[in-house]
Amino acid sequence: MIDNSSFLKIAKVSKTFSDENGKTPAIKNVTLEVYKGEFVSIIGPSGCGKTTLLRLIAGLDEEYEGDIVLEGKRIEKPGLDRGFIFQEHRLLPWLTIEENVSLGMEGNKENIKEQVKIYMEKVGLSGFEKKYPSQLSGGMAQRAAIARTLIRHPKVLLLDEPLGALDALTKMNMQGEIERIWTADGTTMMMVTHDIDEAIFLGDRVVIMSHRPTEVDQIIPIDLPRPRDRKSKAFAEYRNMVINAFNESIGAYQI
Amino acid sequence: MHNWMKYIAKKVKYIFNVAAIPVGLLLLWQILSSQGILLEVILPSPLSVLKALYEIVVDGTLKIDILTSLRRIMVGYFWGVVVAIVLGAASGLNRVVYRFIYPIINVIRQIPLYAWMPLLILWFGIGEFSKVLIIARGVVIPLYLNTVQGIRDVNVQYYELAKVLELKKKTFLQKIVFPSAMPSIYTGLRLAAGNALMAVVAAEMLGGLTGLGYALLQAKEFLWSDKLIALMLVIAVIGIIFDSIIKGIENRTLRWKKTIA
Repeated sequence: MIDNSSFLKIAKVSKTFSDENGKTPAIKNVTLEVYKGEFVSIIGPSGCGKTTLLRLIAGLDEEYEGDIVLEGKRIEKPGLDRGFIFQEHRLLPWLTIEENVSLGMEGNKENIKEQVKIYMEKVGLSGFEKKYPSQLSGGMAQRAAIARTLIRHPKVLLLDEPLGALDALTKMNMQGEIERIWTADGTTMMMVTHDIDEAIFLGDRVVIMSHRPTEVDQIIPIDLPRPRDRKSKAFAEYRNMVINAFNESIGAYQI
Repeated sequence: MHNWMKYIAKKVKYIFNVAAIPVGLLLLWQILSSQGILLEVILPSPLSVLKALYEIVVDGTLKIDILTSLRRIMVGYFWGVVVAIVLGAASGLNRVVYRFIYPIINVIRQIPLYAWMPLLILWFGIGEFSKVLIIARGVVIPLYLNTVQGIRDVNVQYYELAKVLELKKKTFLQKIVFPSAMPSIYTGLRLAAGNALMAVVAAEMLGGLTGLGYALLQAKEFLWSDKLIALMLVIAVIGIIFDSIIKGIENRTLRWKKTIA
């Protein structure tokens, strides 16, 4: 599944926010290559710049040093070639699920309807087309948000702690769902999380970021067959590896 | 098995709870009147009020007064809504427009309804135009303010959503900005309806020879306190009908809100 040609290149990227209180460096000199079809988990202490990195790739935060290049094009503003999943689903409460999923799509109505049907099925929401977001559970709403993004065929899907607001059981279930969608759709995915198990369960590689201003501290490839067994010994070894890397990275800091 | 009996008992209890105080007061009022403790000309008995209401219904004057006032309200409300929505939407979406329009609206708002009337009568006489203008003024103020507020309060998160989905300006306004402003706009419409009713009565009292406001004034002149109170009740009923019509439309169009509960 993984194509070895680098397709999203993050090269020496730094970002500093300035406001009336002065300058706050968020990211320092981050370099990372993401391969086509890959699932990259990014994990780091809370408050570090990992979300900023994702927002830079999405084009939501602008002006940075270094280069972020997607298929040869430097990223400077938002675009449909990158999908973004926020921590909250951000479905519009006044639109039905199918209207939400097709938001902003143009062209032949029948064609759009057909597409919506395909993607509703992909995220396991068939039959919920006419429901309103308030009638869905948190996990279902987040899946609808994923469908809304995937239907536009992004080259890379950026997930910013997408399961952070869900309860533990729903979360575990959704991790399986995301893996299933990733396998079925083949879209490259980059997910920021602060859940170590989630990072290992989903990632082909786990990127460990340091405390702010954040740098790439360590990259751990996860060489486990999918779907991964959270209870297995190998999984536990990876968990220890990540925790150790974390402890080294943050030193005296607490996660 | 006796569920229906329980249901009826519950309904009766509910009606009793709601109606006990008003009905009790009415009874007390009727008794005090019939005992001669309350002067009929100051506070006529409920039965006299009913009789007066019956009379103005039968002789057709009530119908004419209601229709006259309603027509004025409709015209004033319509133009007020058009102006308020257009100016409110423009001000909510554009800071430059807001800086021009808001101060004007704010000054108009601070000058009470009654204070406008002498000038308007001086300019336009006591004809229909002045009355419609006064009603429209009452409509524009709350609706403008609520429209601006509703549009400004669009969740910032949706702006980011619009960016990542590359929504066109038109789609953004149509699918995000206006739907999210609708609850606030409906609040404005309901406040505006109350203002319109108030304005029409005021306008008709200060100038003119027709409508509910004039009828009230006339009843006072002739000391027809029974008719006066009957007319006041009619105005209350009209107000309640307006409010429930708008509330009904709101519930229909904002169906998504209901599903939250």
